[in-house]
Amino acid sequence: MANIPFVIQAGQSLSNAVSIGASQVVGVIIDPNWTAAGLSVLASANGVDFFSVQRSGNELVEPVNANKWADLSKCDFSGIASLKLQSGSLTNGLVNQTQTVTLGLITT
Amino acid sequence: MNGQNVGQATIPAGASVTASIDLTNGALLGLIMPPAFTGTQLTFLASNDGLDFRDFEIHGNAYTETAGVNEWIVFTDNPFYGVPYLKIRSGTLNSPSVQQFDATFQLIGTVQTVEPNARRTLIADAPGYIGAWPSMQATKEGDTITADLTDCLDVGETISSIAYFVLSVVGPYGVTDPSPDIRALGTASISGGLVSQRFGNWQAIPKILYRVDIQVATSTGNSPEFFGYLPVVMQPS
Repeated sequence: MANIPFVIQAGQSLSNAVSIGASQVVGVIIDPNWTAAGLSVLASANGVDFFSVQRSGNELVEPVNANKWADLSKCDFSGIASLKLQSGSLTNGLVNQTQTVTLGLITT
Repeated sequence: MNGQNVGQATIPAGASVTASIDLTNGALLGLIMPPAFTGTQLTFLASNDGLDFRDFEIHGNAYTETAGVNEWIVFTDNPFYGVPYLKIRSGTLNSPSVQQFDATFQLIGTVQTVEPNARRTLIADAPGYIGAWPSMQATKEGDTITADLTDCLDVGETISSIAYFVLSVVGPYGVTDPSPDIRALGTASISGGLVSQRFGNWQAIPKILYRVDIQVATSTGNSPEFFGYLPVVMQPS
């Protein structure tokens, strides 16, 4: 079990990249200062090239709320070596965070 | 996986949330509702360290179960997979249901509840050495230990304050703790002839033995001192 921090700086919508190795993603703890937005994901197999994660032909956008534990166990992150978390989505528009926020990705 | 009754968790009368349920060694597949329950809904709080709990949401909504007395509730699709610590709330965040009576849930799955005071009381017959507490898991959440000093008090004598309730390392495992002072969570408490202190905030200590020193002041001006031993070990994975 690990809590991997992803930071989105104030005025931005995209986090740093983090390698999650073979860990299995189970949830994410949302920062209390989260500016309202869905959470989308960019994935990479080599840690360099990142791509928007799609599911059934649609961008994966998880509804989340500030200061909550958001379950992600129904999302499929298998095979992803590195992740970036993004506020908002490419489909519906990115949302810049008002304050710097830290998202805790919970993995097993 | 077939579930079995593996423990219980209680919302005390006058409250709306259980103590922490330890899911680190298993899964919570369902629960049996108590025979007396105020309200019709359950929501949940999750934590990765047993200390900092957040409302548990799926797809942006609080995970909610509708529940009535004496019902067997099945958690479909194992929603708490990967959640190490969980609390059960009666009602919702904005509308918690305060229980009129103690509401005890029978837990179905492979989990163990964290029972802060279970088997962690030493009875002191006299000042000085009072024994060793059972091993405590080296978690951030930790646990509470208690010394029952009742037999050391005269008739009418009460404990008026706790001078100290502290840890110091005695070995013998070759492990040192440079900061035993930070293991105390909150302040020591008095309940009749009982004195208690919660210890935790461990992260990477595999095995260690502490000496616990306690001194109290009593209503008759006495200041007896007591000590015991507390083994702390990493939780088996």
